[in-house]
Amino acid sequence: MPLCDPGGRAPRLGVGMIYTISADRFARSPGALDYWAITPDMFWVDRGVDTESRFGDLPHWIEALEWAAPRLPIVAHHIGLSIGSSCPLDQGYVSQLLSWQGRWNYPWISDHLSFAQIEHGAHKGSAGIALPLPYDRSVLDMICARVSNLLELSGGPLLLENPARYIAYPDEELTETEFINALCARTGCGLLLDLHNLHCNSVNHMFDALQWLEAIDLDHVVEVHVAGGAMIGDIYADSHSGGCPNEVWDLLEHVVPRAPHIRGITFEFHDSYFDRMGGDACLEREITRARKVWQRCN
Amino acid sequence: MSLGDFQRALADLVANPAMCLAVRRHGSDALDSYELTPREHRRLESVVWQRGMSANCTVYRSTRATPIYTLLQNTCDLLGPSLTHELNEYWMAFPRMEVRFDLEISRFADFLAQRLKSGVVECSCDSAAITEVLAIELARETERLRPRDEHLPHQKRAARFRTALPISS
Repeated sequence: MPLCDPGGRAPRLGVGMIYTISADRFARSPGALDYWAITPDMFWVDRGVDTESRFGDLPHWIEALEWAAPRLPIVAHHIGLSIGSSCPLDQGYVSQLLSWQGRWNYPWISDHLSFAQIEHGAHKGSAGIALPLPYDRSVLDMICARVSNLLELSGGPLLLENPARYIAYPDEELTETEFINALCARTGCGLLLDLHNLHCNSVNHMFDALQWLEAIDLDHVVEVHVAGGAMIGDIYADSHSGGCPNEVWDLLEHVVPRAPHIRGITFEFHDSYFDRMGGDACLEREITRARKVWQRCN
Repeated sequence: MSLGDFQRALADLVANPAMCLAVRRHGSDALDSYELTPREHRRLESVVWQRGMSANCTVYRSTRATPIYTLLQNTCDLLGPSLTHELNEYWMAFPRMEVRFDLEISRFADFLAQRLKSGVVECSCDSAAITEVLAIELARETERLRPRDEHLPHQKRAARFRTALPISS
């Protein structure tokens, strides 16, 4: 049976960038980007689950979205869903996600295949960073149920991103590619293929990234992330601290012509590195290079 | 509950390198307060020896420091080399990260102001100057991070900013 397109009716967008305040001037330059990717969690204040009016817009950030919305597509890359946490999904957060989907008319929504929320008795807390899930069948079942529910509520498309995993759990029941392929096939969600995360994992855990790509079903890929990183001790980290390494460009060249449902390539960087990585000039260079790959295949 | 305890244990390890060392030294015994399956025990006992766990601990600390360093930058500059010690003291007093930037910097500012007042901060810069800069930066960022539906008219904002200043001149 042929796979459905996990991108649904989302248009092919081209090359975009994760929006940050420091790159505001570049992001608003005519023709600089085909779309913006935003982390919605940065644009609001969450006053807490027990508050009456829980989420409040942050004026400086919202102004940027109000500028962009009539001009460019905006896709949402969330960090707060915590799809792999043992605790139930935060329904207030899900409501806010759906509300913003309608408000900003995202072509698709994404989050991470990891967990960040943890249970403290009856309360929830934050782990502070996204942590890796064990690739076991019970975890797969739990996430599939949540994703199916979210797809029903949102009408899709919904993508999950393969994580950078600095640690490896012994005795996992599935490989990463088996886990992701099963998740996408069972639910119809798409894969946000983060090539820098894959590169990090291949360096740190010493495997061949191309073999990983051979094992993943590229029909599931809707969006690709590219970024740069740095060493932390003897680990290569997904720090989003500069331009993409050549290995990531090579992986991009490999993936784009083989991913029939791809809608966009997004360059990611962290706001705090903007000046050190070369500011607008670095962004322009990375976007131009990604566009060349995109244009060869579109 | 087992997956929940496994996730909480991993998060606690990432936030607390001393706990990683304890698990290295004492194995399962150091994880007694968590309800874990034998496989989860084995996994946690394995990851504390992995070099990636040190990276996780570093990323955690860097993530916690980011709002403080980026939003209270002048205060941090004035603290100079003693910043690291003050952050460590703060993290010991408040082991859990507050994900809302405004709350995290406000909690850190209260903590630091108390320590400056009691004279325990060892720093080459004058404590009164740091206290003043801290108050100004906190007031500015609190205003900037105020949601649109809580925004005050300009005059009230200015008055609030003035009252945040610790000096009367």
